Amino acid sequence: MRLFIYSIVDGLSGLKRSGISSLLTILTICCSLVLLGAFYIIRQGLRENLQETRSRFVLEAFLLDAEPKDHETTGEKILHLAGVDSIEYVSKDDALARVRETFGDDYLALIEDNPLPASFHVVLQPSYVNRDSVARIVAAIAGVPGVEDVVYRATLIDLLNRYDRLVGAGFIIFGIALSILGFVLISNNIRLTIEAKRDIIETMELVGASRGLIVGPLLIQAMIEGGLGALFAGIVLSVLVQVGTIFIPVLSPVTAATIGVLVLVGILFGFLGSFNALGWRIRY
Amino acid sequence: MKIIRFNNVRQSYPNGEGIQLADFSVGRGEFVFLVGPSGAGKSTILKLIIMAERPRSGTVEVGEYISSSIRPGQVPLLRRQIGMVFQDFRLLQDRNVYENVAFSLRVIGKSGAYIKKRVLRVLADVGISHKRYQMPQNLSGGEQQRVAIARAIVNEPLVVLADEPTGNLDPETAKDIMELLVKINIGGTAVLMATHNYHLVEQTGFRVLKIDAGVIRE
Ligand SMILES: Nc1ncnc2c1ncn2[C@@H]1O[C@H](COP(=O)(O)OP(=O)(O)O)[C@@H](O)[C@H]1O
Ligand SMILES: [Mg+2]
Repeated sequence: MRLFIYSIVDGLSGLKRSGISSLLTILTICCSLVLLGAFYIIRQGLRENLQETRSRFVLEAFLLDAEPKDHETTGEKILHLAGVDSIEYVSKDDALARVRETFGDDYLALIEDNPLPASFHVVLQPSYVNRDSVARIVAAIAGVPGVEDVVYRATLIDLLNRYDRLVGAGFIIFGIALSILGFVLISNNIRLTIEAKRDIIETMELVGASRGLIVGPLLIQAMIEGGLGALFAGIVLSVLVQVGTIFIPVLSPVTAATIGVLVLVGILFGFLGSFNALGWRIRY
Repeated sequence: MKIIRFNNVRQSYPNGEGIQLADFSVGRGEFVFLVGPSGAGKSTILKLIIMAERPRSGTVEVGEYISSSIRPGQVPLLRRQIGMVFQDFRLLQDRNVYENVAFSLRVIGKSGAYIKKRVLRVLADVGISHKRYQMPQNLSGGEQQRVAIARAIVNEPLVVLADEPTGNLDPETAKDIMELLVKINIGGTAVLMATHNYHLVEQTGFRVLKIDAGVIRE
């Protein structure tokens, strides 16, 4: 317990004693986390955007002419298919009204009979909006009695798919690479700090300091540096996002929770970094 | 009652130098000089005592510990019973005089109140109280050595090991430091002081261990 308190007190004064090198560590952690955070926020923004696009994706199921009651049964069947989120009935009249809205009255004035079929606009659950599932659902809907044809924008699906792979695997690999890079930077920085204390550590060993007493304050110091660096990174990020939303509207704002997570990551980086740097330095 | 005992210790390095044979002991409260020219192996003897090195053959006994069976985790415990003073002072450069001395007590988990009382007391004993908030690099050599001695004795060790403690000091200051070590010895603490300065040794009448061609005997 006393060791713990001592570690905290001495870790704090260690910040002051190390001065510039502490500042450098904080800066390194801050920069690494700004990079990581920015990356994460952009990825998150893209994902949300993607999800949103998905939820707007609709299939149009054109119906054979029939009694409204039959259309209702058809709709019910469609709604019960796996992956279907909601449906909207568009009657012949509705369809006509929509066309009028788009092209103006004169265009249809020539035609006396309404040639447009009734249809269902089918919205899928976002996770089903990919090539395979859509193909399966389209086939299923086409098989429902009363459905004449199913139409959708296949190119959009392809686009979403490609986008998805980018936000998924590609981003994860990039994120891991970025994390490793940040960790190496931080770890190296802490190693330099500790290397500079080599004489001090040696002298401490000579006067009988145990491993915990030497390592404890250094670990705490690095963790405080990690936390502070992360906090600054959080502040920088929220400002960046504020500015960034002007140009990229998909970015979501940095919340207190995000900053909290960031600080935890910073503390973890500080801990692991100094652990990594210390391991071989202390003999017992 | 012996506090340090070397039993047929050999600690020669691959180049053939070092200690060929050390067989001696130091008793409680004794003042002993360890003399020999540069490179004779004086520092090696001290390193063996604090178990920074283990002997090639033979054993070193210090207090309750024996080089052949001490576990790494026990080495700090051993060192807390030994005060070390070096030619180059080796103060913790990142903290002031007070904290340098207090560190030896923090190491053994003493309470804040005790530390304060004890450190101020010892700083007064070695005559450096007035500089207690100075950083080591702002002190003269003699002052730094006083701080180092305060650090060495603050937790009342069995023995103070001094490795050429006056080597970096002018004769006047060296004399002061010698007197301080003698004063500590009079207080009951054993002192083992390594030096190449025979002249310094002759005047005192204390026991002398000579390293002669790598051999030390009683
Ligand atoms: N770790 C080591 N490896 C090889 N040789 C060493 C080592 N330490 C000391 N020596 C050699 O052992 C001899 C004794 O060194 P030392 O004990 O420092 O002498 P002193 O303190 O009496 O000047 C010297 O010749 C030195 O070069
Ligand atoms: Mg020497």
